[in-house]
Amino acid sequence: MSALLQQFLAEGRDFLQSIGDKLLALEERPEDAELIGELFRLVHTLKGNSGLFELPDMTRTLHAAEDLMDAVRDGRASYARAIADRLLEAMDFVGRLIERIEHEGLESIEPDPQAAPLAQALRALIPAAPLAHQDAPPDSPQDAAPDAAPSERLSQIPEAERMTLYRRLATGERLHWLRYCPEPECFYKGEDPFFQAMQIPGVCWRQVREREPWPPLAELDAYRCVLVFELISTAECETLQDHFRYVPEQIELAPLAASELMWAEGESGDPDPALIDFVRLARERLAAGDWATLARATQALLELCSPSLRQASLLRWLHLVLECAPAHSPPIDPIDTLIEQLATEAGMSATAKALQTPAPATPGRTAHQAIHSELLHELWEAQRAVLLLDDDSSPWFAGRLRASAASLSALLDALGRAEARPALEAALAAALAQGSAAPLRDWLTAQPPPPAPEDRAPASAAPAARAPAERPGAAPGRADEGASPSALPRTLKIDQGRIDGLMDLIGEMVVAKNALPYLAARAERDYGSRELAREIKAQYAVINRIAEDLQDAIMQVRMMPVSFVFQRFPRLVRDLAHKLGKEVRLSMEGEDTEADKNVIEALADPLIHILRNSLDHGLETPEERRAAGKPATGQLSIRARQESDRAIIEISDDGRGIDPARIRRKAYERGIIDETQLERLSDQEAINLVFAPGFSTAEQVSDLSGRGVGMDVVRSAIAAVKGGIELRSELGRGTRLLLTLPLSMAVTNVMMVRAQGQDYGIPMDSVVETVRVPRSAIRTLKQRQATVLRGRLVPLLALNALLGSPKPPQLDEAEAHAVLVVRVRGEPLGLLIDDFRETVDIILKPLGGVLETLRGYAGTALLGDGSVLLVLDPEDLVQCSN
Amino acid sequence: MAKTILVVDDSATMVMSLKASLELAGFSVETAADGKLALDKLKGGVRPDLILTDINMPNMGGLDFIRAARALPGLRFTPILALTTESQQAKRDEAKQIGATGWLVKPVGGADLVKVIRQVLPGA
Repeated sequence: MSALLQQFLAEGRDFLQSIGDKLLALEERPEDAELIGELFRLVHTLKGNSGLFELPDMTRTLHAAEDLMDAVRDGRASYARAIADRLLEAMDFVGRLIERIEHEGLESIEPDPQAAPLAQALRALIPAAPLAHQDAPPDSPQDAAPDAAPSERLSQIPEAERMTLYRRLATGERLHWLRYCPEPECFYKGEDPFFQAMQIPGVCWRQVREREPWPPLAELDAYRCVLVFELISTAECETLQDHFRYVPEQIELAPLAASELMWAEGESGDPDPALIDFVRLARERLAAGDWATLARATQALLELCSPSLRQASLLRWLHLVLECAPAHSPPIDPIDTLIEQLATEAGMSATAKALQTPAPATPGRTAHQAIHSELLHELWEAQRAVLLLDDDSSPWFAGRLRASAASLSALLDALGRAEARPALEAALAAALAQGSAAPLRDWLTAQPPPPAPEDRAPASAAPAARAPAERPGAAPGRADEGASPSALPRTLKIDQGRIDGLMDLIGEMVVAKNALPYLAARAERDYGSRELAREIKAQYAVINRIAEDLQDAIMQVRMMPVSFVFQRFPRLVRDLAHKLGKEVRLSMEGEDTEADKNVIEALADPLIHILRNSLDHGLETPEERRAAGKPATGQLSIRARQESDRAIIEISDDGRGIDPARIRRKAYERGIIDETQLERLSDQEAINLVFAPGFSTAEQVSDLSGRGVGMDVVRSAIAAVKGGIELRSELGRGTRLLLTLPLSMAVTNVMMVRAQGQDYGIPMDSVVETVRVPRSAIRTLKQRQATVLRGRLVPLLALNALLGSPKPPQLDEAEAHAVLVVRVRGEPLGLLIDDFRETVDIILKPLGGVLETLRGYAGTALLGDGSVLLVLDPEDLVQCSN
Repeated sequence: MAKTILVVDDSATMVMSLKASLELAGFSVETAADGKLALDKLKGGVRPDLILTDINMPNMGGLDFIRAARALPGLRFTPILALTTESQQAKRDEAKQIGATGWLVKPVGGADLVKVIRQVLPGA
């Protein structure tokens, strides 16, 4: 995939996101002109970009969208929900195309039948455009100024032809214009007008046209000649007359004059400042008879202006007249006429001409001349510097003097001081004779310097005088280099793989540094060197701090704002609410709260599911809400914030809430709880049942949520990134869901425990507390063990048993069991273990290969002493043992 | 010395495409993401031989940029080509009126672009 395509896709996605956001914002403020303008610009730019590739469907859809936005912007169409709907649809379509190109490449894109209806639907919303918005047809005949109307006979000849003809006339050739109108009944007289016309000698241009509009085909009389032949020939008048000697009354013949050929075509442009300057210069040069300068200026302006303009046509003619003219005596009249027509084009009046044609010696101070005088001044000073060089003996000295004198002579011309030229020539002769620049220098000193332009001269002329070798162009170049660093982008896009690689390395380092305490212990134990042990520990502390900082820094790189996920919600909520016939106001807070990329990405689907549930089951229809005495528009809010090392996301609505009684009944009907539980469950416990697998609260499975995917899926998705979920609801008042997520999941803090003489790790996220329970405090209820902790019954399970070992857990000296209380499905559970050990930071690696399918394990980690720690997943472990 | 062209467009894609075409043709290219940034460059002393500018841009659009650029010393005659789309006749007219030398219709293929620029820039 080319870099350009990648850029297009990445930028395209950004544009689509912005377009979506702006459309939604526009629903709130439909009158916001700035927003509408911005929206138009985005669609417009995206369309422009799509044109770089062969994507007709995309370009077509975007073009329609752009035209629609243009209509909205001009006030031809007023913004309405229908417009937003169609535009969002179109953007979705474009988004899908972008995704497909991304995954399958540009080649995979085939014509999509959806594109045409989409574009049509968009265009259907555009009111018929008033005429002013349609492009003017090019070259409309009325553009030709009346004072320069072409003669009727020649009006059909294109400019290029006319110019060729003009050239031939200019070389002294004689041309004749001839029109041959065969009479309608000529076929019956044995005439062959076509053959006759084709046989005319010396034709250099010809055309055949109909004499009158063609009749409908059914009425066409094929035996009637309605043709007119027009041509220009180099043949003599007599030759042509002779050719038509049998039908002399059917021809018109006239010698062709150069002036007849000369008229401008093309549309009038808007007043062009460069043209105004040109006309002033041209009038001046015309008065001075300076044809060479006029020709150069004409050529220069011609290169600047659009060739389709009338002024360009006039300039071409001017150039041609000058080019064809004998060197020193061009025809003044046509040149003057052309210049005055150009003046008309430039919007200059005839009175302006009188005022603006100054004597060459007193140039007016127009901006154009200001620039000139700046240049002249610089050139003048440069000559001074050249003449001050003191290597009089160099072989090119004479040449340099001549060159300098030539420059000065030209400067005198430009300044209108031609009278000073003889003195200059004398000074040059003297200088050459003496072999010294002094006579020229003296002449230069005696001359008044060219007037310095008021504002810029001191800055620009002075350095030029000191260092003539330095090109004036060099200065801006350096300024540019100085300016460019600030223009460098300040953001760096890095491939995620590289960050992950770095993260892995940091992980290895964290583990490697954990080897140092072991080493210290060995130094003391095996080699009896307490001092060495202390030093190793001191070094460990330093490395530990650096490693932690490094780890933090890299984690910062991986951090992403939750807005990455949140930004889709306004659109999602809007679409769903429309579908369900509900009115919702979505408010979002704390979008800049950050968490690890993996956490953020894992968050998207569960959050969407939660929002759907809220919209579908939580919020009532406007009628229901009014009946319940609530405002018709429901409130849905998403708030994100950071609390120590957790990101908290709270989703709340002011809907009908969850009815615990209904949940109990449902759960009982589905066999999730039995009769005793039905009575004993607290309201909160009942509400938590929505997380049970296979539970769905909707009586009628709706199109949106339902589909068998319940809150249990949400819970496990959140649990997969070590997050927790909490549901609170008040009947009739609303529901609140609290997600707690780790900021980062790269390093896991685990508690090591001992069972059957082996160490296991338990993630600290799931650890509630560690307690020692005397054997006497353990009771057996229905073959299950339990104990009371802080007034609450906590079920106990032996870790050995969970791991499939029949060995009973060991008691400590005080006849007590070590109990690790963990949270499983939101409820505390005590694990009977042999003993507690320390907590460590580890890099958790999931089980791979044949072990991948093993249940109950979160993964493995390498410890500092090189041993491997098995890390358990208590929730999964308990679940699979049931 | 290679002629310098200042490309002003808010779309990075468009800038990338134009820059590549122009550099292939031997031009040296300066870029700016909107009219304001481009104007800053010009005020900072950058003197391109030609300016290519988009019309619709945030912060400062192409028309305002052309107007402001024309008022800077030394830029009165620098060719400025507006990049427009086929639906922007009104903008084109306005651009010409305030001093654009001409316009190009987006998307501009590399060959067309260079051809037009060579027409406008003598000796390039």
